[in-house]
Amino acid sequence: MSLRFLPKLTLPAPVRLLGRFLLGLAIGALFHYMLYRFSLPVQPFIYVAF
Amino acid sequence: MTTTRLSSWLLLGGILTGFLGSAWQGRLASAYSKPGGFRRFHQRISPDTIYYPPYAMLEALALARWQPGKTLVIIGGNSILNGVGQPADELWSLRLQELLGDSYVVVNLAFRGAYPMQGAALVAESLLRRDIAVLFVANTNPPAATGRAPGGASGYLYWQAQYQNQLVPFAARAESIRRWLDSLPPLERQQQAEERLGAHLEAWFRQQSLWHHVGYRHIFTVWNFVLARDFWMPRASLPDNEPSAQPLHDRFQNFLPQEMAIVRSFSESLAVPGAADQWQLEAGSRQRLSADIETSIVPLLRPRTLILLCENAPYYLDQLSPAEKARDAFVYSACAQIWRDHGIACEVAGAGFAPVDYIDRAHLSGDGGQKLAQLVARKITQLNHP
Repeated sequence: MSLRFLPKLTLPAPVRLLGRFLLGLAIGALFHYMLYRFSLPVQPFIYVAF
Repeated sequence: MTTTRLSSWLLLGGILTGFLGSAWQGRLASAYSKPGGFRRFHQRISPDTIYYPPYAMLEALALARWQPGKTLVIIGGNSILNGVGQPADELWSLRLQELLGDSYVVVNLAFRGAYPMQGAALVAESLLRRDIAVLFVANTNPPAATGRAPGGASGYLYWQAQYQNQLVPFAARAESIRRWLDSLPPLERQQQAEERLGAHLEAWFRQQSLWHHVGYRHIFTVWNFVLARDFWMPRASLPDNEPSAQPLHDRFQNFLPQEMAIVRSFSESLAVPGAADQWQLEAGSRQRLSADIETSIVPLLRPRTLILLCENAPYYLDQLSPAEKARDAFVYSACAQIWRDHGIACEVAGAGFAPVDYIDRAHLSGDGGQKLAQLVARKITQLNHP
């Protein structure tokens, strides 16, 4: 029953293309976020009075 | 063009747009993003909790309340001037602002564990270069001297300031840092290389500016053991929670032998007995401090700087032998003179302070902060109106 229902969910081409662009936007922002994460020091800073 | 090919191009275009859009947002954030109601970099907005304020944020904070005609007093140095031991409303730099009045704008940019020439010093240098009236206050102790601009938890600020072209060209500092980098073991050299790369990328893409802004205003995405379960909370929602000092009889009780060893180390490696029961600075130490000052502090900043050599708490000093006390007093006085010989105002902070003025060996209570503010206000006024 569900399989027969699927073709009705096929999205029109412009919507699919918009979806691809939005997916690209998210991936680009993720790359930018990864730059931030990679810039953080690996070792945590533990404050010690001196 | 087939739909498949168009779809691929759109995905690629989206990736580029998403990345460059984020970089653009980061650039905007670097101009305006700063903690609201800022008083200091308390623990929840500091490297202790994986919050590394970008260099641009420090400049934005410094200029937030400044107007032409006012003198900006930028406070750098370590946890002592950051105000560890003083609850937010007892912070010594607030008292300093009250004492100096409206013609001055006091901004506390000190970080826990920082050296005097890190972070805030770079902001002071950058703003002086732009002809803004700036005075810089920082603290250190005799063996710690000037420290180095890069290295440690606050060292990334030097690389960011350099790659954003904010610093005065200063060949002696560049050469000193180059020699320091060459002397590092491979692992540390690699860490510095990564820090430099991160700073270089920050100058282009502002990733630290954007995601710290998001972390401050919306959601923080990096776990840390200090905040633990609350790590995700926007830092704007986590107030400065520096506790009040313990009752006096509960202070100074922990790690007494270790603390006494630290107190003695402040002077024993720097002084040697001289003639007639007098102390003198060990020659290498004298040369090292002079060279550190010459290669760390740009000449432009020197006449606008006040260095505080912070004494240890009297509870510990009182347990030194008379000879050790004399050595300690001599080293502080002699090192202060070396700073002055290089054209930098220097005062020993701690003379006349009582045990109640400290919360531990080094940090000042609210009472001690009041005394420090009075000392600094007096010296700042002299420095600004010689």
